[in-house]
Amino acid sequence: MGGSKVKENRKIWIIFLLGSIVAITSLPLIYPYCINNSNMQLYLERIMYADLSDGFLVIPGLLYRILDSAESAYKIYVLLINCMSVAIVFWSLNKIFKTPEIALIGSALYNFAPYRLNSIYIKGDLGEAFAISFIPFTFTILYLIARESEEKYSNIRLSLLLLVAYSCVLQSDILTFLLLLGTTILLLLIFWKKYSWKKMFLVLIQTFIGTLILNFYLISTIGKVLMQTNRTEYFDFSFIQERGVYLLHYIIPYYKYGTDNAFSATGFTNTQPLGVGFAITICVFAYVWILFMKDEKNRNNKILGWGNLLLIVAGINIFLSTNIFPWDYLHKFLSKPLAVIYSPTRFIPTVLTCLTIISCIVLYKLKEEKKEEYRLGLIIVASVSLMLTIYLINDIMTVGEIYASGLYENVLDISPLDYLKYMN
Amino acid sequence: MNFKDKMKELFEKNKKRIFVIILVEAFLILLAVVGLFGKNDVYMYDCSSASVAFGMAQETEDEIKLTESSGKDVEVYFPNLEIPRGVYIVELNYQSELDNVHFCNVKDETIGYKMLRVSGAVLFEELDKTNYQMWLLQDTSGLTVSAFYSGQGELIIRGLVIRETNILNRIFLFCAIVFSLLFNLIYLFIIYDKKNHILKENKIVIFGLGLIVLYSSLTILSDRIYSGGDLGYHLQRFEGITDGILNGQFPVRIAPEWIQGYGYASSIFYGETLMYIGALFRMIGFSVMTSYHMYMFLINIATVLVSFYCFYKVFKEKYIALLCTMLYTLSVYRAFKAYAACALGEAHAMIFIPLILYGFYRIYSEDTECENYSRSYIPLMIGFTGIIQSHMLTGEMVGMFTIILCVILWKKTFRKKTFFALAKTVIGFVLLSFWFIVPFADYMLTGNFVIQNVWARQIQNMGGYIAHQLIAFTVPGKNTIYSVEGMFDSNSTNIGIALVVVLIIWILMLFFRKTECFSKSELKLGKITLLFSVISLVLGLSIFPWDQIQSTNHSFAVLVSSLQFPHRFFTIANISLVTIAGLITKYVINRWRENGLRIWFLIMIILTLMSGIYLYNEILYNNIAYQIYNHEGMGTGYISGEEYLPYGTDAEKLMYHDPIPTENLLIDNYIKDGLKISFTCENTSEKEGEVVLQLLYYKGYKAIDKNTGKELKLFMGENSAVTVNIPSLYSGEVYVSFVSPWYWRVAEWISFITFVLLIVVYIYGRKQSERK
Repeated sequence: MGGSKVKENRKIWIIFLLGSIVAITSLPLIYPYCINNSNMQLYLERIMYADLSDGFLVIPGLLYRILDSAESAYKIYVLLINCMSVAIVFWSLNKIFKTPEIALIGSALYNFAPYRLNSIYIKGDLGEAFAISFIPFTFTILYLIARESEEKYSNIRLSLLLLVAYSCVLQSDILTFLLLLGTTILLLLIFWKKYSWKKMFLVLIQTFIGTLILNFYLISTIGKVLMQTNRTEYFDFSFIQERGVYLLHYIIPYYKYGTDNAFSATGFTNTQPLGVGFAITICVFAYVWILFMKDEKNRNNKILGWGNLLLIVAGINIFLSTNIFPWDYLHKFLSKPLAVIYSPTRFIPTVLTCLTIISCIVLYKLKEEKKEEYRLGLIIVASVSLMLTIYLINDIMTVGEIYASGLYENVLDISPLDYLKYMN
Repeated sequence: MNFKDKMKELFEKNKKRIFVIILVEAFLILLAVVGLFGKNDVYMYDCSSASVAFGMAQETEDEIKLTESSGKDVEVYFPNLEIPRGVYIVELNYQSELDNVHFCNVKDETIGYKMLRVSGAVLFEELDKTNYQMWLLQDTSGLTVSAFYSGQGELIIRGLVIRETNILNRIFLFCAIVFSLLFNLIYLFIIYDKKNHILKENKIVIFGLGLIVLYSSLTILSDRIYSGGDLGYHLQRFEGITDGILNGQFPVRIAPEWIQGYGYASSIFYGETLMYIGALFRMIGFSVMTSYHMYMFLINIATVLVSFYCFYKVFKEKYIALLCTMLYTLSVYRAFKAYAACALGEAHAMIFIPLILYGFYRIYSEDTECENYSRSYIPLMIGFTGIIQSHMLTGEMVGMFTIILCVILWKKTFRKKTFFALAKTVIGFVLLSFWFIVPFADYMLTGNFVIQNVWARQIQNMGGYIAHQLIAFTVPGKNTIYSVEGMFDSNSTNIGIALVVVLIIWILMLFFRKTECFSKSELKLGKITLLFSVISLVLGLSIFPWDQIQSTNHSFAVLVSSLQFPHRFFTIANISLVTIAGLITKYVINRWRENGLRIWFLIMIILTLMSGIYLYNEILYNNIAYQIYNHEGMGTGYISGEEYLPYGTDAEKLMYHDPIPTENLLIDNYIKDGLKISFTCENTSEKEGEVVLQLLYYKGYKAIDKNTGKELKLFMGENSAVTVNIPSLYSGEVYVSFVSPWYWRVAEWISFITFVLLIVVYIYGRKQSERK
């Protein structure tokens, strides 16, 4: 009896804390107005005229029809995205680590990440914000496929979960979907030793067919639009390397409100807060520290093995997301794909996912080995994350301009591929 | 098995692998060396390949002429130039009627991000071509060189020449060597660790120091230089050393290209020994910005290593030394000086200040009968030498506190051996710095410079408030005079919340007598550093009556005025409080062991994040950022407070010009190469004549007749210009150059011999003690 009460209490606490994460990430929504962002005008228009072909924008579209206020519908939709993201990331990490506290911290780290807050409140790319909630989910499913011997998930169940993830991402942000697809392939290649290829092949084939059928309408629409040559006018074929972040973005503790996305022009001044957050940086340092110490007992540690591979994936994506990756060299041969990528920063969500899981691994290791330091670790990571997030949100709320209806033209800070689907 | 044997064994075991690595590296280096040759292509374009935009111009085959009727912001450009990657010299041939109003630059929109690195150059009336570097990192056929006409005066463009250099290959060679060394070091570390298992404590220290270097380098990890009060001045100093060496001076006394080629003697008044490293990067061919970044990175590494070494020597405990190194290197004051104010001299001096602390601690606490005591003067001597050759004012402040220390510990000071050690310190550092002190003293005693005439500048209004010390999130504001705007947009004139907490804790510990774990010498160290930190904090505040002292008499006025900012005293407070932090850490370890140490470390890290690191972060976001590649892009005219100009010189009148002779002289074949000028001169009259040259007069210039070797009279002419007296009926070739006086040269040799002797004595001493 006592045990179940403790369990019940723990559950309530977890729900309360998850709610708090949603509340903190949604702080700019309690403002009586909307804080303006680059894509606000586009989304408000889409919300007003949303139909079934607009994917998840149907939800705010419906709210608009009920509330008769596009801005309110927009805000509620953002709130829903925050709720969903917090829940999905928590569920995903809990599946991997089977420790609610770690999953809770992981969810906070992921949802408090400056990149995500920037996507919602400064760039205002709600499609991306919606889509990136599913990246940790996808990683989890791939992890579950690999842990075949330990988990008794049927192939159909895994395929269905993966299908849901891919379809949600595809319906909300095509570029994120393409990058996720690339990451999936990279993960499979890097983790090849850990997979049962037969099982994986079956799951992937089922997922592929399912995704194709479920999203046939969208895929065919995009195909049709792309075939129309005049649609290329929406593509920006200029160089993209200058939009990549500095390595510094992964190290600095304090992020600030800013709207520019081309670092070549202004350096750090007034640039978007693009990074994974300092709490994650601390955890990554701790992880590197664990590796550096080369403790004998870690030699065959399974979870560290996963962590190392994730570190490689993160490293590759960090490199791709920065302005030191020679994107402009590739421009000669790949100008169209690069125009679709639009900004190297789009690789950051993958980095964020990998590093969030690595952060959880650090906490998990503490839990396993140094119980007395585990709580301290949780408190440090949570407090650093919370303080620095509030610092950024405070900046967003005090520096960000208020949206005034009718005053703005579309600035459009999204991939042209995602803009095209609205052109149909 | 000692370290040497372990390494030998490692080499033996990994012979094959090491051989392959060295082979690959040697191949890379060889490749780089081969690339150095044959890079001398010249691309010439006449005006027929140029076009005019945004206005009208008179175009002929040979030139494009722009006059005021052409319009404003007219662009004459040489488009679509096809050039392979490399580093080039851009020579735009022109004739301008005015100085500093027209501009030449290069752009290329067909190549990628940062593939072209160039900052352009302004045009001058008395120059006939530009001469600046351009780093092109990708083959292109879309390069455009443009001249921008401002709409004033006349500008004639006569063509463009782009000359290839081997700079890119020099950079490649340098990188190949450095990366090979780094790779080898890392590889050796890995195999050594694998075989011998480096101690956990040592690994913690290495990891920690790495993080400290990383965070102290935050602002130099972007592709910008963040502005600060003295940035332009210090960048000019790097250029001065580079140009000076390339012009044949060593050590550099007068920067030849500074102030539009007039030459500025900053080197004589302001020690720049360490800056030769930065100048070396420039000589290799790195851009101004990259050289500055690499140099500052090395300065950070040096600060971290020296402070760790010193604090370790004082506290004999690596974790304490690590914490002190973090507090010292990431302190608000250092971040402010090195990056917000760009006071490089003080940042240099901060490398050596821990050596002073360690030196004095050793001299005063070590047993005089101890065998090593005879060598105890070495850290102190290096410290003083470094400080004097980095920042004279810091040297003066440290000197002042040294006197206080010697008086407080007078009993120990006058012990025979201690006194000898101190005397050796003084003699050693004076001899080591002789090459710098002698020219400095020579100019100060025989010349009359602006710096000797600054006495009216009041400083009290620039002292910080007590409130400054108590705030956590400090920002790099622009406001330095607090009497006008209070703390609004204030400079970061504080020591940081971490050190304030340290100060409060230490006072409480002394008050409640929680000092039982300290030895006598440690407790004394704590009390003296507390006294020093309180004194220096008070001296740095606006409550200290600087203005009253200044008004007492002229000498005080000069002294106080030369201080410029009272907060300079925070240098002393900084090191003193960091030392106290080390003592508190010792107490924490003693009282609460490992757990206490962790919590204490955590508190200090959080407070550092809220102060020093926050300031670095703010500099990134708030300070104006520049991208300076070729030095012409920042001009050559900036001399900060003009302190080292001959008194009475009007700096604004110092512009490029040809020699200005009196009416009776005929001048021809004028060549100016840095500080060396030659021309043929004919005086047909019975009267003596004078030639005013484009050089600023400093003691040391000489004019001779090149054929006879006879010295001609040379003196300070109008607006402090070097003026040569030409005898009546003279005809010949005049050669003017800067020649260091013989006693400067003797001083240089004395310093060099002292340096060599010290190394020999040190090595001999080490070997002797090893044998024993």
